[in-house]
Amino acid sequence: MSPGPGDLEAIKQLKARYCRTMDTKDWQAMRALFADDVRVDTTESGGNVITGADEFMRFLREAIGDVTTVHHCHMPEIDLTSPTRATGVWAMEDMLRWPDGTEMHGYGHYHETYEKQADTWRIASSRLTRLRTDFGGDPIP
Amino acid sequence: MTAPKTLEDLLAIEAIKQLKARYFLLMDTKRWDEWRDLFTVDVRVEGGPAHNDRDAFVDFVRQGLDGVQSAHQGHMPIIEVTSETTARGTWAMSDDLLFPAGHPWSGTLPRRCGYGHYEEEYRREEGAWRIAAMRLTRLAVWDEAIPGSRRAPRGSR
Repeated sequence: MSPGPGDLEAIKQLKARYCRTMDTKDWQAMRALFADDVRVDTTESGGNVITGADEFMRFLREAIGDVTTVHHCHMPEIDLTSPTRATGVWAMEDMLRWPDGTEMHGYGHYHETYEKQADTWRIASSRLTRLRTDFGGDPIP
Repeated sequence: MTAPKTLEDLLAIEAIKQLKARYFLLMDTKRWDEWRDLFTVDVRVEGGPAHNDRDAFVDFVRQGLDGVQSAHQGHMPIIEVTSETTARGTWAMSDDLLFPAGHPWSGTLPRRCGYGHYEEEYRREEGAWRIAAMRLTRLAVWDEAIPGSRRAPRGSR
C-alpha cells in the first residue's frame, strides 16, 4: 500500500494513545509516543515551553500525577507533508478534578507536527491553544 | 504508531468504527433488536455485572436504561486487525445519563456523567464485524447537577 491512508490512521492512533496513556497515568507508554527532542508548548494552560520528552514527562507527572483527568480529541486535520513528516490540528476537550475538589473544564486545539522514525510515527511538537477554561468545584480550605 | 499495512486492514478498521458508532446510536435511541445484532452470540462483557450471553446482556442493558435519557459517546479508536476475522480495539468514552426518580442506578443527583475506556475484541462472521468481547474501565463517574437547573425561572425578576 502506498503511503497515505495507513499513515493517517497511524497518526490518529498515536494521538488516541497520547490521551489514553495520560489519563490512565501510563507514563512509560506515554514517553514512547514522543520524539526525544519534542517541543511542547502549554503556555495557554498555565505551563510553559518545554524541549525534550523526558523533561516534558517530568513536568506532566508533577502537574497531573494526582489529578483525575479526562482528555478527548476530535476532528483531526492531518496533512502528510512528506513520507516521514506530517502536521495535525485536533479539537480537544478536557475535564480535570484535583484532590482538593477543584474542577476544570476546558476546550481548545492541539497544533502538532509528527515524524516517522524507524517505521513508527511520533509527536515532534505540540502546542495547546485554548478556546475556554472554566474552573469550579469546592476546594477544601 | 506503526501504520496499518494493507488496504484490507484499513477497510476493516473503518467497518469496526461504524460498528461501534451503531452501538452508541442504537443504544441511546433504544433500538434494542438492532443493537442485539452487533454482538456475537457468545459475547463476553466485563466492567459491570459480567455476561457471556448476548440475550441476557441485552436484556440487562434494556432494563437498566428504561426511562433513562442516555447520551453515550466514543472517541479516538485504536483498532488493530489481528487476522481476516479478528481484531481488537480501545475506545475512549463518555456517558451522560439523566435518571427518572428512584432509578436503581442513580446517585445523589439525577444526572451522572462518566468517563472511561472500552477494551474490545471483534469477530467477523459471514462478512459482518461484531463485538465479541467488551470491557469497560472507568476514569471517573461524577454526579452532576442538570445544566440550567440553577437558573432563575423566566420572568422571576
